[in-house]
Amino acid sequence: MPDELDQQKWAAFARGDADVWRVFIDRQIPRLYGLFLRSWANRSLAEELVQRTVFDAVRGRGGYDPAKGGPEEWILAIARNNIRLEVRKRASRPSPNGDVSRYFEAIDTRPLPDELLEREETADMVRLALSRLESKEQVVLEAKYIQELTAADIARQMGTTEKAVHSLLYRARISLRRELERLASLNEKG
Amino acid sequence: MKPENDNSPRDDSAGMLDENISRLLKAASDSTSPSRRFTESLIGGALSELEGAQVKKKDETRRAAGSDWLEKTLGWAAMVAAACSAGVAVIASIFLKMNFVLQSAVVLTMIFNWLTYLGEFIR
Repeated sequence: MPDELDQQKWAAFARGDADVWRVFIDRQIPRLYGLFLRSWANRSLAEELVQRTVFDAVRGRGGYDPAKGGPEEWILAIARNNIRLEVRKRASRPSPNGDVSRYFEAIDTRPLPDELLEREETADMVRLALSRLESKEQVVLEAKYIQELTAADIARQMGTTEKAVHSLLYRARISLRRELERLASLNEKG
Repeated sequence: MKPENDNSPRDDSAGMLDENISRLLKAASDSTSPSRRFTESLIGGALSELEGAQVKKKDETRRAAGSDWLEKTLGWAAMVAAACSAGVAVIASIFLKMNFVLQSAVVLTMIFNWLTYLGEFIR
């Protein structure tokens, strides 16, 4: 009986049944995120790779073969392939040099290299810069970028207007940038 | 899939600063699981993609069914045209074998019938 149930589930999965996929993706996201995070200590890259893997699975569901294993093993194979591609991509580009301040100076014009974000000293510098901001600025940055709340949700939480949240976010980003630049230049001199 | 952007000054530099700050803050965070908002947004996007693919598949099926109908109609029309042509050929060959008087009688009868039909139609 369980085999029959599994077969029905697999058939619905290959057909693209929305209910089966919703449950499946919801279960797989934390697993995939953990897998990518173990490869690189980079949360934004982990999100990007999870997203890529889920969409690869959705688009390639026609190629899923139940005879080769369950959907979990299948999506894990896609994830491992994305890790291999990422490793190859990294090998083909130059690694960032030690001058962190150079990257922070161009923070609004160029994407920061992943390798820089994965350094423990960068995380320490961000934590220190964040601790030097006003508490309101810290709260708004955490709500926006860590909890990923909308301006409307933040406004509700802080008991203010959306316009005030936008303006506070703007000021907080500028302050954080200034602190990062200052700390990076101090680090360089030290 | 990324959540909506809350930048006040909406230009490229603000967009890049926003993106980099997001990545930096995530790098400094201790969280080992993605945010619920990210998860929901990704599930929504994936399900839309699935739905889109299914709508496309249905459209293709419908289009294929439409072209089947067209093929059947054209087939029937071709069969009727072939049958009519065969009938006309048989009648023409019989007509050509007739002598002049009989041919004239057939033509005059046809003209008379057409004129009667036309008269009925005008009245």
